[in-house]
Amino acid sequence: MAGHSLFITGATGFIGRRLLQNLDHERYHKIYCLIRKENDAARLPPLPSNCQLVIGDLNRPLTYATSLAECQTVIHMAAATGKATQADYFQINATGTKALVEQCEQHGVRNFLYLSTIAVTYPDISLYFYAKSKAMGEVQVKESRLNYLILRPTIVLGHGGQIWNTFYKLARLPFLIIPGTGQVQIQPIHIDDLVEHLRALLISDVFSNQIIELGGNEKMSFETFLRLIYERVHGRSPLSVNIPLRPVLAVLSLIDRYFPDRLPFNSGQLSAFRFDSTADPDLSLSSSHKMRPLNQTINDLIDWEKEDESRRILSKECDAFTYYLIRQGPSDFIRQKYIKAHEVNLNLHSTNLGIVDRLQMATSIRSSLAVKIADSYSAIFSRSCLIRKKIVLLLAILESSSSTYKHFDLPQGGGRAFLFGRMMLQGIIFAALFIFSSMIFFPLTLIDRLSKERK
Amino acid sequence: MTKVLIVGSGASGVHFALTLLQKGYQVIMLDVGRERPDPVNPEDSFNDLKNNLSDPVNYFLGENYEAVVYPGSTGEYYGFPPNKQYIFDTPEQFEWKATGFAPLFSFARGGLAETWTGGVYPLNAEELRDFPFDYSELTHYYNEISKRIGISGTIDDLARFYPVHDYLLDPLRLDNQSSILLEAYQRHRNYLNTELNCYLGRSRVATLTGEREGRKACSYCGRCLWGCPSGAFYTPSITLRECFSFSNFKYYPNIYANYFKTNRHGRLESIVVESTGMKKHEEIQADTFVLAAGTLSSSKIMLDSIHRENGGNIKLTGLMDNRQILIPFINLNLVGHQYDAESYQYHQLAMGIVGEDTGKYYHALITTLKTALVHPIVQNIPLDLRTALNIFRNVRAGLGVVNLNFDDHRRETNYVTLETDKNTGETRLLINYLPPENESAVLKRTVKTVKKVLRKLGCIVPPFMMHLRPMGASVHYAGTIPMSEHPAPLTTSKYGQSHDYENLYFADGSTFPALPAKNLTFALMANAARIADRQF
Repeated sequence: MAGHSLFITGATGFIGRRLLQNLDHERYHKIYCLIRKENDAARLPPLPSNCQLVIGDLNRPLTYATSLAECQTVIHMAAATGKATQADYFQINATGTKALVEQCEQHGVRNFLYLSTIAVTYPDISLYFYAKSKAMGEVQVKESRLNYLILRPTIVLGHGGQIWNTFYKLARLPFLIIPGTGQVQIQPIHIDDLVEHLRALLISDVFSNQIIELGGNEKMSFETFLRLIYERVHGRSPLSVNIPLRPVLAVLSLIDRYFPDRLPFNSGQLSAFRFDSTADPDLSLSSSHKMRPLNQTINDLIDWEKEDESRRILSKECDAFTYYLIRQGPSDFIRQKYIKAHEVNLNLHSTNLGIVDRLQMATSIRSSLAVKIADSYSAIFSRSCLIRKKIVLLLAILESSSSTYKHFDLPQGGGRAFLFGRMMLQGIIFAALFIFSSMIFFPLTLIDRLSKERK
Repeated sequence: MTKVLIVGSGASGVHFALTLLQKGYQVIMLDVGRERPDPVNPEDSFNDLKNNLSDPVNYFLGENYEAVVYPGSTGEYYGFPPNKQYIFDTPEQFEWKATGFAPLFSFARGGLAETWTGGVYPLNAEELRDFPFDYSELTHYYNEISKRIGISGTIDDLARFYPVHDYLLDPLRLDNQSSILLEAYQRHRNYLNTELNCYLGRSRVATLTGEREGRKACSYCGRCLWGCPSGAFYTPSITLRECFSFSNFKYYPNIYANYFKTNRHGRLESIVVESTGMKKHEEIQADTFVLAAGTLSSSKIMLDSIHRENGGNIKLTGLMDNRQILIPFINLNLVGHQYDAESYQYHQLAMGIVGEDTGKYYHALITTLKTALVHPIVQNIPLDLRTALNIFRNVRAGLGVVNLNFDDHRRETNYVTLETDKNTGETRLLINYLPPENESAVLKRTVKTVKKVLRKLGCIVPPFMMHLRPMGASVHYAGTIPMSEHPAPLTTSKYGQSHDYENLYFADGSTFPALPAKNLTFALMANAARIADRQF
């Protein structure tokens, strides 16, 4: 395989990143990754030494033709996905693919792997521009002189994927909202399983002008799938509400036409709730790779989400507390140290909290004043409470960090008389806030204690 | 040549060993010997570390944030940094339980004095009154230890309490706050001396102000608390390194000493030891044995030896420690000033107070807080943390703490003994301590005097922040096997020779029959050198 080089588009995308992480780099002489902007490189995993970035645009072949000419195989994953304009879908997915295919033909590229979608098989894609544009891309590939493989994955699940994010958001609502009847069949595949298949295809190096449909090892209705997620998130069965699709689609298509970009999703994306998204067994790949069970996939992803959510909340806490203490935001280093401290000290986690602690934690991430009110109360009545522990932890981190330690060293400035006056004023403000906070938190503390005693 | 086996490498052990080595003895030292990690960025100052280390939080707070003091934390706060935790790692074989006492143990190379604050305060003739030898017997060894470790200081008003010894180096450069306090003392000296019986002066500290024998002079980098990176600040591991240069010295680390075995003539024949982390017992033989493992550990070995010999479980009474009170203060003259992190960090001033009614000497060290972690202080100010932080930074340059020390004497109520596990036969050390009945009144009176002194020096003592440290916190343990002129069991001769086993010596604080209010480390070193020199 010496001298064999690879050209990858879409390496910064959801699937591209994971593929790049798991690619057998040593098999290739060079790996070129086409990215649109220099900044996009930050989204890539650490790259091996034989990997080189090419900044360019699918529709401007001169930006990548030289690198492409050195390659024997292309993996084309770049696409406009999710919520994009109609023009973007066609410009990138159809026209861009056409331009790339033409360049491959011109420069003698032998093999072309095209990552398509199961959505191209839906019976009606007239309003689903993503699927329509991908179908047009498939045509370009099929009609070329290249040895190709077209891969149509079903729903791809993975942490950070748009589809999973949508499902997770739906499942976190108090009621389960199911667009349509919920009886369409799906066959989700975990991103790692998809990437494993891609790797296997690249190793086999057989580009036999074939279309492959790839799904997970379980088929089920959309409703069952959403229920599984809901139950895992909430620990109980959901009350579900079905939303009839026809009127929703009609309204959405009007909004799409006259007010594009106004909604977080478009009418086309709802097609997934109208048609089955399962792989045709005749077009499936026989592989020794054992797909992971769907239950495990869901459990893993929800664990990830919970961890991620906890990190997001801790990050917000860190921002709010740092601003409260020193009137400036924290650096990434400080955030990381704050989050890591919560990993090693389980006493800092918000479990089995009383009313006051919960209220203080919930309000304090929203405003600096709320932190001060909570802290004023805690300074006298509840010195070991959770919020005070967290702020003290942050104090310890701030006093040890290069960007913030001076806030502990330098006096506030002004003459002595001014400083004494200032400290006096700060004391008065504290007293006022303490009285105010006591009026809120003291009765709640009493209620909390009484309810605990009753239990 | 007699083979002498020493257990422990602390302040007493290393000076005992060095004295014997210089006399040509074959010396074996057994030690668990946890090693000090190399100092990071040795040329950096305290604040340089924050700027230059890739992860300063890891350095200052520890990998698992063990140095963070959360509100509501129980237990005494010592402020030891994470890189000194190795000093307090105990081997799994060593178990203890204490009532009324919060002991610290060390199994590090150099022992507990690896974390001392360098105070060198020779005991004077009055303080040695209960010892079975004269002050004159110790003077030569004060000089010898002073030569070995390097002591800086000066002769001032405190010389009336601290005998002057030779080899005194120039004093350290005073930090701003200490200078101001000393100037204020000079202005009010007459009143303080006559009305309050209080004297102020420079601390005597084991820190070099000039280069000597491979050790650099203090660079005022502000890292004293975090482990002196230059060797200017003396710790016993420096003397241990000196011992390594003798061919007649054998050092066995990772060895935990259990108990002695006797022969039929009642002499010690061997010591039973085990490698740390392994349960395999071994015996090491020697002609003479020296216990210098620190009062509590030496006591445990003695108790275990007696227990193994005749199954008995006795009490070693007379355990002592200095009661300490921490009195924080704010020097109002320095409010709004910026503090200087690049200065010597431990106490530079000391205070001597003569009790009005008792006539006793009470000893205080004045530390002008600088590069300790500040979050434990900020959270103790009874305000919201933002206000507390703002006030703290405005007064930081003027903050200080008086560490007031009280004497102790041997009492039957305070003892160490063993508890035996019925299933395994393993023993653990039990420590029991009760403070003297009249303690509270003496403490109150003396604290009142200190407050008056501070006010006179232009300082205020913030309310509710004074701290009575638990017994055991000062780590000046002594008195369980005292020197005695009479050859009673469980005592030693004036040369530390056991009255129970002829070839056993005690070189640490366990033989001190009284505990004056001073830090005893210097006296321990001098006494160890005295025993090694006079008896061998």
